[in-house]
Amino acid sequence: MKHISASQLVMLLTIYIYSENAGFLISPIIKTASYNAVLAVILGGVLGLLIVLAGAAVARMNEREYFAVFGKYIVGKWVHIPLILLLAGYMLHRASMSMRNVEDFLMVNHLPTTPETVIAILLGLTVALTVRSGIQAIARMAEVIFFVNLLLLIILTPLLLGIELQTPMLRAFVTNFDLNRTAAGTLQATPWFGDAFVVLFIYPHLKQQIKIRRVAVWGAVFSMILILSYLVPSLLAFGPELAGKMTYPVMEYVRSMRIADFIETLDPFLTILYIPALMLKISLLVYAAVISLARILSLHDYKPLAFSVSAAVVGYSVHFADNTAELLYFMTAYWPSYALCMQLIPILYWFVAKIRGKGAAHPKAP
Amino acid sequence: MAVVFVLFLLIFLFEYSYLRSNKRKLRTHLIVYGIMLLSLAYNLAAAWLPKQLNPNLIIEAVLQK
Amino acid sequence: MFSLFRKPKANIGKAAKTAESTVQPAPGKELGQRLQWFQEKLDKCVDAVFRTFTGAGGRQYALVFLGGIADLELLQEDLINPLTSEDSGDKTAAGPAADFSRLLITSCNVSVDYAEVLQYVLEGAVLLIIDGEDRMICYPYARFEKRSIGEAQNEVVIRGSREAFVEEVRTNVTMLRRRIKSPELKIQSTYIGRHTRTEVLVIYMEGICRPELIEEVHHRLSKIEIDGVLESSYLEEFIEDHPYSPFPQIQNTERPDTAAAALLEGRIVIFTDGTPIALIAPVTFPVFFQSPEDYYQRSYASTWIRWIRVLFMFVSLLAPSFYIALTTYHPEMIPASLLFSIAAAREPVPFPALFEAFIMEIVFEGLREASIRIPSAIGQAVSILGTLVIGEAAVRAGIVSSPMVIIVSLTGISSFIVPSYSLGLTLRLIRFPIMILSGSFGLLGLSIGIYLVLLHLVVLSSFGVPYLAPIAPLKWKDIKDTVIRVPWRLMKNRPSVYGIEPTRRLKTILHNDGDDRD
Repeated sequence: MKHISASQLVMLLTIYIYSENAGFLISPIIKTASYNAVLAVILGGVLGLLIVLAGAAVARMNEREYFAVFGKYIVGKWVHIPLILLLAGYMLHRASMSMRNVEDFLMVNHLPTTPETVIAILLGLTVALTVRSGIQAIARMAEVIFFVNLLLLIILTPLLLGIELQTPMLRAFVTNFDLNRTAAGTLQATPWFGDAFVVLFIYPHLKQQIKIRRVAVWGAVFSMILILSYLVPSLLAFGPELAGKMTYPVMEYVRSMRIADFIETLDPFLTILYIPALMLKISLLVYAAVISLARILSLHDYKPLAFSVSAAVVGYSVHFADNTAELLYFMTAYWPSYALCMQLIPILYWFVAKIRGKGAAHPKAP
Repeated sequence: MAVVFVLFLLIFLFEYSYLRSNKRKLRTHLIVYGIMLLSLAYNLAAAWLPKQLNPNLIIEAVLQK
Repeated sequence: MFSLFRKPKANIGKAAKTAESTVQPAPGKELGQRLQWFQEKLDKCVDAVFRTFTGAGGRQYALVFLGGIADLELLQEDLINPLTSEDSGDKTAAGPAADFSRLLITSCNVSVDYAEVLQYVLEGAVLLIIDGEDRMICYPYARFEKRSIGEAQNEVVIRGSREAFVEEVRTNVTMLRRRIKSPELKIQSTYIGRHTRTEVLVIYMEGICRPELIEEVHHRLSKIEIDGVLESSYLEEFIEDHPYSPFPQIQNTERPDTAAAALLEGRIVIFTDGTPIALIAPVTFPVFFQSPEDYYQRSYASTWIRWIRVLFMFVSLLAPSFYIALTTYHPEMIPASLLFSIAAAREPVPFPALFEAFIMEIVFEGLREASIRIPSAIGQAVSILGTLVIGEAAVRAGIVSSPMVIIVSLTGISSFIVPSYSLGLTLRLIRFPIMILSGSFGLLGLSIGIYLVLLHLVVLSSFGVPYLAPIAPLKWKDIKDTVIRVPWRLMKNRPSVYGIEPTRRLKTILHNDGDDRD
C-alpha cells in the first residue's frame, strides 16, 4: 500500500497543478489581474500551498487510515459523512470542469466536427481505466509525463523566444501595481493551487518517510515555474487586453510560432503531449473521490466504482455549461469562492482536532 | 439516451463479471449497483433537463446570497 | 560403499512423482515375470528391446532398453562382455552382494521401484535386471543425436561471441559454465510435463540473485501441470505475471553471452530441454531495446544506437497513425508544398486514409508472414512479386497513394529494428487499435492511444519488477544502462531494479584519468 515515493509525489503534484492551469487559468487570471497576473499567481501559489499544508497536517494525524475513515473520529460520524460527500462532490465537480475545459479546447481547436459527447466518452473511458489501474499507476504515469513535459519545455523555450515579445512591458509588472486587481487575481489563482489538497485523501499510499511539507513546496514551486513560463511570454506577446479576451492565450502564442517555415504550426503536436497530463489530473481527482466514497461505504475494493463514477463525470461535463463563454464565466465568477469554501473544510477538522487534543484522529480505545 | 443505456449496460456487465470472478459478497454487489444506478439516474436526468438540473445552479444560488 | 546405493536425490525424487508409481502391481520374483512386466508396459513399442542372457557364473540377466537411443557398443563393452567373460569367475565366492556392487558405475541409478525404472528406460537408460536380486540398475548409455553448436541466427552481432544454444540442456549448461567458472553458479533441475517429462533447469548466481526470486520461480514452475512442454514458451506463458497482456514479460535469448550477463545482473535463466531458446526473468521494458553488442562496442556508439532503436520503435508504432491523423484532421501542420504533393497523390485514391492504411498494413503483414513460411525456393519469387504488386501496380491502379507506400514500408522495416522479435510482434499488433483511434479522433486519438499503452506498461510487472523500471518508478542509478550505456568503468554497481542490494560490479575503480572518482 505504501508505494509512492517523494520524487513521484513531487512530479505528480507538479503535473497536477500545472497541467490545467497552464491551459485554462491564464485567460481568467489575465482578465482579472492584467499586469498583476504574475504577482497574483505567485501569491495564489503561496496561499494554495498553505491550504495544501493544512490538508497534509490533518492527514498526518493518522497516517495509516484514509481521511474518509478517520475523519469521523475527529468530528463525529454525522458531521463527517455529509462533509466527505460534499468534498467528493467537489472533486467530481472539479473533474467535470476540467474535462469540459478539455472538451471545449479540443472542439474549438482540433475536432470541430466531432460531437462533444463522443469526445467526452473517450476521455471518460481513459480516466476510468486510469482510476481502475490504481494510485501506483497514476504516480508512475506522472513520472513519465513529467519528463516528457520537461523535455518539451527545454526544446520549445528557444523556439518560443524567437517570437517578438514586447519586453518593455516587463516594467509594467512592477510599476502597474493595483491592489484590488492583485487581490482579485489572487482569489482567482489560490484555488487552482489549493486543489492539490487531494494529497489528504491519498495520504495512506505515500511512503512513510516522506517529508510532505518539502514535497508540497517543491511541487508548488515547479508548477509555478512552469505556469509562469507560459504566462509571462503570452502576456508579453499579446498584452493584457488581448490576452484577456482570448480563451486560450498560450495556445494562440504557440500557434504564432513557426520553425523556419518548415512546420506550419506546432499546436496539434503540443496537444498530444498536453492531453495526457490533463487526463492524469482528472484521474487523480476522480480517484480521490472514488476512494473516499468506497471507504465511507466500507468497500475494500474501490475498482468497481471507477466506471460508474467516471460516467457521472462524463455526463456532468457535457451538461456543465451551454458554451465555452458560459463555462469561462462560471469559472471566473463563481468557481473560486466555491472551491475555496470546499478546500477550507480540512482546516475545520484541523481546528477541531487541535481543540480535542492528542489522539483525536484515532478510534477510542475500548 | 440510447447511448447512455448501452454504455451503462456495458459497465454493468463488466463490473458484474469482475465481482463474480472475485467472489465478492452480496453487499458489495448491491453497493456497486447502487452507485451505478445513481450515476445512470443522474445521466438520464441531465440528458432530460440539462438546464434546470445543473448543480452549478445551486452553487450560483448559494454564492449569490 | 553404501553411498553408491543412496538414491541420487534430484533425479529420483522427481521420477517417483509420476502418478502411476503407487498403483503398480508388483510383478513376481522370477526374472521372466519381471521382464514380462516391462514387456506389457512397453507393448506395441517397436523400439523397445528385451534381451536375456546368461552370465559367467550361470546367473541370468535381462536387459531392457530403447533401441536407437542406447549406445550398443558401450553396452557390449562395458556391461555384457564383463558379465559373460569366463575369467571373472571367482566372484561367486564373495557372495551376491559383492557381485552386485561390482556392477555399479558412477552415474548409474539403482532402484526397486518399477515405475521409476521404467521412466529411466524411457529417458534412454539401459536397464539391467539380475535374477535373484531385487535392485535393478539403470545405466546412462543413452546417446541422442544432437545438433552441433551453431552460430546465433536471430540475434546477430558484429563483435562478440558467435555461438548459440542448442536443443540439449546439458550442452547449454557447459556453455554457461565455460563463461562463469564460479561455484556460485547454481543449476537446479526439475521435470515438467506429464508425458514429455521435459527437463527444465533453473540457473542463477547465488549471492547475487534475490533468494525470494529463486523461490518464486520454483513455486511458479511447480504449479505447472501440463501434458507436454515442447518449447520454453509453454513455461513462459505459465509463469509470467500478467498472462493476458500482449507484452512479453520474460526475455528470451539464444545467446550464451546474453544469458551469462543476465546471471551476473542477478536474474534467473531457465533452460528447457528440446529448445535452444532460454528464458530470462525478470525483465524490464528497456531491456528489449538492448542488444548484446551494445556492451561490446564503444559506449557512445551504443548509446546512439539505442536512441535510434527507441526512435524507430515509435516510428513502427505510430507512423501510420500519425500520417492518418495529419492528413485527415490536421492538414495545417504539414508544410504547404508537401501538402500539395500528398493531396495530388491521394487524389485518385477512393478510400479514406484510415482504410487505405489498413489495406496496406494488412497486406504487408500477410507478405511478411508468407515470406517466413514459404519454402525458400519459391520465397524469392513471392517477395519480388509482392514488392512489385505493392510498390508499383497498386499505386498506378489508384488503389493506394505513394506516400502511404512509403509510410507502410518504413513502418515494416522499423518493426524489425527492435532487437526483441517478440516485442516487435506486439508493437505491430497494437499499431492497429491506435490507427483506428487516430482515424476517428485525429491526434487526440493518437495521444489517448499512447496514454493507454503507457498506462498498461506502467501496471505491468515481471516477477514483481515494475516493467518500465528504471524510468517509472525512477531509479537514477540504473539510467546509466538504459537511456545511455555508460562505459564499463563507470558501471560500478549492478542494476538495482531486479531487487538486489546495490552490489559492486567493479572491484576497484581505475583512476587512469583521475576524474571518475566517486
